[in-house]
Amino acid sequence: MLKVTQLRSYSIPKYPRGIYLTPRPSPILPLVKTGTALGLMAGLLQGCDLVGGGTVGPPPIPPEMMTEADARIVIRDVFAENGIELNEDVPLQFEIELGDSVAIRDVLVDGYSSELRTGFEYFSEDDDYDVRAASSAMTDTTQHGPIFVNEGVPEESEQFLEEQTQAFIDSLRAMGWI
Amino acid sequence: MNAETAAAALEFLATDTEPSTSANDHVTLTFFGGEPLLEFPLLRQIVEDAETRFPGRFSFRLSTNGILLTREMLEFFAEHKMYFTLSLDGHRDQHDASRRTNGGKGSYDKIVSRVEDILHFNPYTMAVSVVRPVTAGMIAEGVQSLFAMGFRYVLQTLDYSADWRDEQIRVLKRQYTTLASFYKKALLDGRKLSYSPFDERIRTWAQKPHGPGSLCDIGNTQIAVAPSGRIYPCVQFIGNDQSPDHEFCIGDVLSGFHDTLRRQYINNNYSSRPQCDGCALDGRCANYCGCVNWKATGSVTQIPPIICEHERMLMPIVDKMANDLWKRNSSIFRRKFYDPSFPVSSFIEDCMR
Repeated sequence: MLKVTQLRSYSIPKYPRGIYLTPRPSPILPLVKTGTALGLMAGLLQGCDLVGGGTVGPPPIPPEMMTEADARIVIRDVFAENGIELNEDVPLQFEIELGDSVAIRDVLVDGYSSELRTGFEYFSEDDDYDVRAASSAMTDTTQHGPIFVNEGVPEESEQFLEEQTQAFIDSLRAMGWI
Repeated sequence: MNAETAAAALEFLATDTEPSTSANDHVTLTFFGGEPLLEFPLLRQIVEDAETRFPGRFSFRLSTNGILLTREMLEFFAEHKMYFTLSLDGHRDQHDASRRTNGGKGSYDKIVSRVEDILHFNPYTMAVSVVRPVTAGMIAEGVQSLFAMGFRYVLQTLDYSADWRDEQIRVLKRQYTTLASFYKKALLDGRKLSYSPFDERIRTWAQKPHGPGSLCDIGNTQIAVAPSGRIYPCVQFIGNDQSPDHEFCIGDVLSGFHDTLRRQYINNNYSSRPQCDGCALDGRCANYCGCVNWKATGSVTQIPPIICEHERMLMPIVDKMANDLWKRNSSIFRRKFYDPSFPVSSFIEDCMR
């Protein structure tokens, strides 16, 4: 008999979430924002029946996330392979909307090219409050250009992170940014 | 609907200043039935009247079974940029199992004989397929036959008000699995196909999850006008227009909305779905379609079991296929789900071919 049943756990899809490139008025630029819900959903996974990817097996375990140090190497290498050299921990100021007011936050961006006005930020537990508060401002490409914002991938997802980074760079090319 | 009511409906839709609907400067007007082409002269009059009186305010859609379509109508639709969805379930057996003419004969052959013309005038015409328990085992071949005919867009939905059983869910699972292989291969081959059961679920992950009002916005930005001129929250509710108390009516085109009644429907549709609290698929499944819920359970917020079973069965199939398309770097997949310029760039590509 058919019934309504809440699914308590579900395998996280391996295709990225939320890197949809939202059109912006001027210029129309991409921003890749990945893995937004990865950490949150991982926390929701509980020891119930696994339904996902067409497989049945033991309950999923919330994945360990890739460290910032490891992720930086992966992302920086992909940029470099595409001829984009980035400086590390570049200080940038972002305007952040706080309700009706706007505040300025100084943020060290993980990788950034002042010449090309693009870079990346990988969020990890090591990041302080200001970096996370600036995440939405980083999506505003009129401030410091398109920045690849990644909110974390599971460890051993090097290839996945490489693909996400490459997709971001491809979109920069497609838009004529680089 | 007579001409006077139609004119009043146009006036109402074009000039209504109620806040939630006035947010839409542009009104999409969809003709539905029954079969709207039974009243083609009136339909033409409404379109021409709207374009004369309210230039640029309306765009038009039509939902038709295609039986009465003529070349003259197709030319009119093309001239007025009027898009229509064609009710065509799949292959002959699938379609004729539930769609028959008054004489009892299946309508498949009649409709298919017009498909070449239809796609000539509008290559983006969408085929709409409704799956019933009796046709559950036919959808894999049926959908592939629609794409083979030349359709690029197939919108498929279950008849949620039908009496579905466990065994039919298992049948559907096999059918979707077959279709997933077909769809994956098609995208990897560079074909731009759109199959709503897959595309809609991928979008809820790759782009934006569903929320209140996002899947259907009954009574708010989406309303239906009956031939009598009475307004209903959605086309699903119009069946009761002939009842003496006009249950579910939220206004009429002459006097406007009955605000209290209307607000009830909007609030109900925007309220949470208690049965789904804590479900891992909340935001990805179709539980927010208030009119489907209402039609199947009598309540906008009550989820029919078939929706839940269907989503739990289908989502893993879709995600597994999408995982693979991403991993294999399908260009169409990436553009379609991650590049907002895809509809435009794809259209330009098509024009240059």
